[in-house]
Amino acid sequence: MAMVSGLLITVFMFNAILILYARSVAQHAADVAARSAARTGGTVVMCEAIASDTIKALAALYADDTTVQCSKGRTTTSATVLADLGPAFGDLGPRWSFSITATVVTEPEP
Amino acid sequence: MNAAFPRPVLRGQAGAGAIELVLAAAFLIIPVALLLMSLPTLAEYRSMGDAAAREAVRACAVASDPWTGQETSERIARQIITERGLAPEGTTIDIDCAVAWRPGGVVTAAVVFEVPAIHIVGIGEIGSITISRSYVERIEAHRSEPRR
Repeated sequence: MAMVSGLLITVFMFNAILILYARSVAQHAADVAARSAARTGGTVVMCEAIASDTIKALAALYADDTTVQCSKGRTTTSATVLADLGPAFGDLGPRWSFSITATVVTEPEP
Repeated sequence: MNAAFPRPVLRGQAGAGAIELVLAAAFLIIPVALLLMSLPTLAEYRSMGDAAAREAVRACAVASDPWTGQETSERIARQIITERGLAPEGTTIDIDCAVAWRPGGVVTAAVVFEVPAIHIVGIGEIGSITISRSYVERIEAHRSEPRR
C-alpha cells in the first residue's frame, strides 16, 4: 500500500512538472515567434509556423493540445499560445487550460 | 516477562509504515512539491520583466522622436506586464527615452514590480518579493527615418 501510494504521488508530481515545463515552452515559442514576425518582412503565417515548430521541437507530447494565433500591427506584433494540457501519464492530475501572449515592437518600415 | 517490566500497550511495528506515509505526505512531500512547483512561476515573472524592459527600450529605439518614444515605451511595458497577469499599478517603469534618444544614444529601461513569493496554482499566494529587471540598448547611429 505504501509503495503504491508513493508511486502515485511520484507520477502525480511528474505530470505537474511536465505541464509546468510545457508552459515554459509555450512562453518561449510565443516570444520567438513574435520577435521573428516583428522584423521587416515577417508575416503572421511565419509567426504561427515558428511557434508551432518550436512547440513540436521542445514539447512534442503537447503539440496537439496547443494552438497559436499571431497578429501584426503597425507598432506591435503579438503571438498567443492557447493550451489545454492534460496529464502525460495516466489520468493522475488535473487538466490545465491557459493562454500565453508575447508582445514585441514591430520594426518600422524604412 | 518480568513483573517489574510490564509489556507495553503499544508493541511491534505493524502499521507504522502506513502512519509514517500519511504523516510524510501531509507534512513533507506535498508541501515541498508545491514549493518546488512554484519556482517556475518566479522564473516566468523574471522573464516577463526582461521582456517588458527589452521591448520598452526597443520601442524607444525605433521611435521617430523622443516624446513619442517615451510614451510608447511606457505603454508597451505596461501592456506586457498586464497581459502576463500582473496589475500594472504596482509596477514602476523607468525609461530615459526622452533624454537619451539621439543617434548613437544609449537608452536604459528599468522595470520594478512585486510578485507573490510563492504562487501555488489553484490554491493561492503567500508573501511577496520585488523583482527588478533592466535592459540597455544603443540607438543606431546611422538609421533611416521611420515612415510616418
